[in-house]
Amino acid sequence: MTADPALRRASDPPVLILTSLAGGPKHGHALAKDIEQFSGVALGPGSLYGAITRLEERGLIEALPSDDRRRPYRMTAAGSQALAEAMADMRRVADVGTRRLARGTVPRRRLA
Amino acid sequence: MTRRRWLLRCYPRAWRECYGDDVLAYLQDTYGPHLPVGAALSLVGGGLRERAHGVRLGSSGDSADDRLRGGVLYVLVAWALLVVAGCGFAKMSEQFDATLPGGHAMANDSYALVEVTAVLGGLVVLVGVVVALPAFLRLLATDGWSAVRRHIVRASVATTMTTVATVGLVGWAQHLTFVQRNGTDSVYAAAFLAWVGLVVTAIALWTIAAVAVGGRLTLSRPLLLTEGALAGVVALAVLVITAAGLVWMVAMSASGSTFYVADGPVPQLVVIGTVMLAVLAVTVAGVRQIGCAAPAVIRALRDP
Repeated sequence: MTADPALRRASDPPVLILTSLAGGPKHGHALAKDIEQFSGVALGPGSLYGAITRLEERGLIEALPSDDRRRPYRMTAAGSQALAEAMADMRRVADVGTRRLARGTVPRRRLA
Repeated sequence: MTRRRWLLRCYPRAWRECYGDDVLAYLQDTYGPHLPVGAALSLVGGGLRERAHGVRLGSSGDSADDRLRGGVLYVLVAWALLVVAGCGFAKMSEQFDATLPGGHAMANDSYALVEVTAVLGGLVVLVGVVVALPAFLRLLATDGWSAVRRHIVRASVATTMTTVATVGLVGWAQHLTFVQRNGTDSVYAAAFLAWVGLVVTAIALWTIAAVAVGGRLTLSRPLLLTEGALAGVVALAVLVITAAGLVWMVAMSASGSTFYVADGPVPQLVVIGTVMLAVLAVTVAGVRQIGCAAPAVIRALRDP
């Protein structure tokens, strides 16, 4: 399992933010919009900026210089590695679930 | 915009200086001129979490060690609140047995249980302090003193003022009758209330100092787990005291005592009940955090 407890579940705000930033640097509003689009999760400002603060503190993302009030953020190399490890963990669990479902040991609900 | 800046005051100043403008721009881009209530509440919650993180009370993004430590500090805060409520309870229930029509075992037994559990809980808190003492001395030996000096000096000043006020008040009380001490001498009553304020301030300042120190201590995982276990015992003591206090109140009511009549302790009961609700909420938050973090700390201890 990954050593990072903040990156366990796909719906954890740090995972969502890193996933969004894997597509390129974004500021807060663009991040929230992108996350809602690909995951359906609407992060409140408190959760969004709480997660941004922790990720920046741990060197997983960094703020880019900006003339605007809006600070764009980008993923660092450490962030990229942490996200890759988290994805590998999730994929392992997903693969096990998929294999067991395919084996048909669990009765499936019959479709009408 | 003023309301948004006001909401941002929930966050620590250093955080606002770093992220404040960015958050304001985000709020403008996302919500336009009208900030929904949900977003405002999210900001308040985020600000409180950030403040908790600042004093290392632990939040979801922190390490398991920090969350465990935070849970222990929550329980310590709950205990400090319980001490405040307990002082009020002790004053309110002064000579309660004199109001009982005859011997009433349940009232007496539940009161004794409150007293015994409070003493035991206090001893467990002391054990927790002793366990952390070497780490505190190491903190002082490094450059930790400058970070906690302000808190400890403020608490010491409040304690000195409280001690002086206590000596003065006790000297004054000796010249008054029981009836004068309990409401008929309004000047004494005002001085007593001011003294209560000083006691509560001193307890609050020592609690803040303890949290500031506790958040900076370098504790090994076995020590953290020991503190977590002690906090669990203290939380249990809080529950027993709350339950026994409730039983005492019901027993007093059922006993036909004159305690609830005459001037009546209802206003004190409301204040004590409110503080006890806060005690329970903070205790539950602490125990929950300890319970969630402890397995990960144990795993890390077994497999470093």
